[in-house]
Amino acid sequence: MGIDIETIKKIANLAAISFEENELEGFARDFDLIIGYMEQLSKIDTGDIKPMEHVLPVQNVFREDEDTNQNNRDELIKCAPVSENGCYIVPSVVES
Amino acid sequence: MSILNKTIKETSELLRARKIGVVELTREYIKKIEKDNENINCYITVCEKEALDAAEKAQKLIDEGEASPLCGIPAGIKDNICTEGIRTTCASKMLENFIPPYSATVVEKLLGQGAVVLGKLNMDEFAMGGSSENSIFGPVRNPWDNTRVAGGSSGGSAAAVSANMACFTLGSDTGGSIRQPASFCGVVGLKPTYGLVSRYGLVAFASSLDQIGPLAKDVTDCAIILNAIAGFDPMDSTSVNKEYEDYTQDLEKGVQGIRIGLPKEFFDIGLDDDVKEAVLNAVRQLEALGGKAYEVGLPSIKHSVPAYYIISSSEASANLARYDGIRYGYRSSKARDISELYRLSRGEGFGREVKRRILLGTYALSSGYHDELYKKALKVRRMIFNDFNNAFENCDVIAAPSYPVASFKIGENIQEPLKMYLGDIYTAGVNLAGLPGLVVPCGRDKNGMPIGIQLIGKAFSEKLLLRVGYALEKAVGTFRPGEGN
Repeated sequence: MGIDIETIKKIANLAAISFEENELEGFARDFDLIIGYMEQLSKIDTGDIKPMEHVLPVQNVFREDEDTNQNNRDELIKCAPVSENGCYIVPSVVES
Repeated sequence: MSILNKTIKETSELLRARKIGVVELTREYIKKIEKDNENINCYITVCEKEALDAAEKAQKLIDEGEASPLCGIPAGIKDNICTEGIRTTCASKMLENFIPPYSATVVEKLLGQGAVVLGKLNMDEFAMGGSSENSIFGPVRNPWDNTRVAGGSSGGSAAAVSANMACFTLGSDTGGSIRQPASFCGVVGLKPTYGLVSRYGLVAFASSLDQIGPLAKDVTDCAIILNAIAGFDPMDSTSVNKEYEDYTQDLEKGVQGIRIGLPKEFFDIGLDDDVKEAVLNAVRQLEALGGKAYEVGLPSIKHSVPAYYIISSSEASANLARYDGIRYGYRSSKARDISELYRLSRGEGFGREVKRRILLGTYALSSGYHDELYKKALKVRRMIFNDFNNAFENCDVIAAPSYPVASFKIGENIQEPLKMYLGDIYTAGVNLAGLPGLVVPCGRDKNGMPIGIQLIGKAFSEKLLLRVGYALEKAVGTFRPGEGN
């Protein structure tokens, strides 16, 4: 299948990534080539093979319900590009 | 011979014999970095003050008779491994000013042994790439030939060891990112078995594939570093709880009777003649030492590149969703609402290759393509896993190339992402199957560039891999730029 600019726009929207208009064509061209190559997967006869998400038998790891970390809220907030009074700042999400 | 040429083992002996002090040694390395980094560009951040402080502490430990072989040894850390108080950029605008509030477990372990962290090493952005050109700090240059790439994504980690700008380094490997640059720069690199080394504090790319591992001047050093960083970590839910092993113990046991598998699929087509000859010659050396070579089959390995790129990009698209411009990392100043804040921060903060991978993963996971691409890739992953298991019924280690060519020029492949992806054919399958892979220098191509053989082992067979690597290294010698070997 062909990947066009509209498909790129749609996926970019799902991934929440902005693109400059002039970037889109190059992206679509590369993407078309890459997806075209990856689509060889759909032709492989995998029979009744089960999907393998992980090489290890991954399971939930539990620990005793005890305090382990100190309260390092101030330190974590310091990583934010914008903060105020110990809170993260986001643009208004509720219309006034 | 300069102190900077010496291995961990040799340097440690000199420190203990008081032939040199840790502070003086650290200053020598910093001087070397100041002199050569402008050219090689392997360091993103040099932390001179922290290094000298750590050096003083390490000297005290040595004076008190501390036994750790890494005590006082100057090291570099790939810049996707968190270091408390020292910025960790992932070579991305997204994390250009990120100062982690904690250190990765591997860093804590190295510091706990008295190692001296010199700084943070350049790489492909978020470890996505095979040339260390996808970096906002510019490409890493290969110390053997500055017009060539150092490989990637741990290009800075490989170049720093090769150029004597660190005694050893840590890198990370998701589809070949330790092994391929180790081959390009003529150093030893190990991608450990999945679960052997804690990933806590490694900035996540593809969580079911990522592993941290060492890059070093020789196999012995590699074993010494693995001794320090391996082991169970409750902070990593995929960390495997198994008994402690001393990886230096079996090094000298030789390869008598060891069965070496040669996958015919790896030597058929698309492999540069010089690389093929160097790898097969290395196998002949192992045979001369008592090893036995057999042909083995990995029939599904030809699908490893598409399966790897679908799986790793899908995982990346989920892992990198955390970069929202709010809690940490880059934040666009142009956003008018919350949705724009996400989209613009990510659009402006991520580089081209990272965006491409996130889009590829988003596409593979999206409705209508999930079964055809993602689920199918997971099935192919199991086929590859089974292939390796079958092959290991007839051999103890598999010998393979690390990359189709010895090296390439800066700028040569950067405009052709698919061509770049195809180069991962010998390495990505190893990550899909969770196996260990060790690269040891074994020859040079017609341009004089180093070539590394890749030795692949069963899960948790690092001891045997290092033993075979050690025997080979003794037979072919180590490879350093400018030494004319």
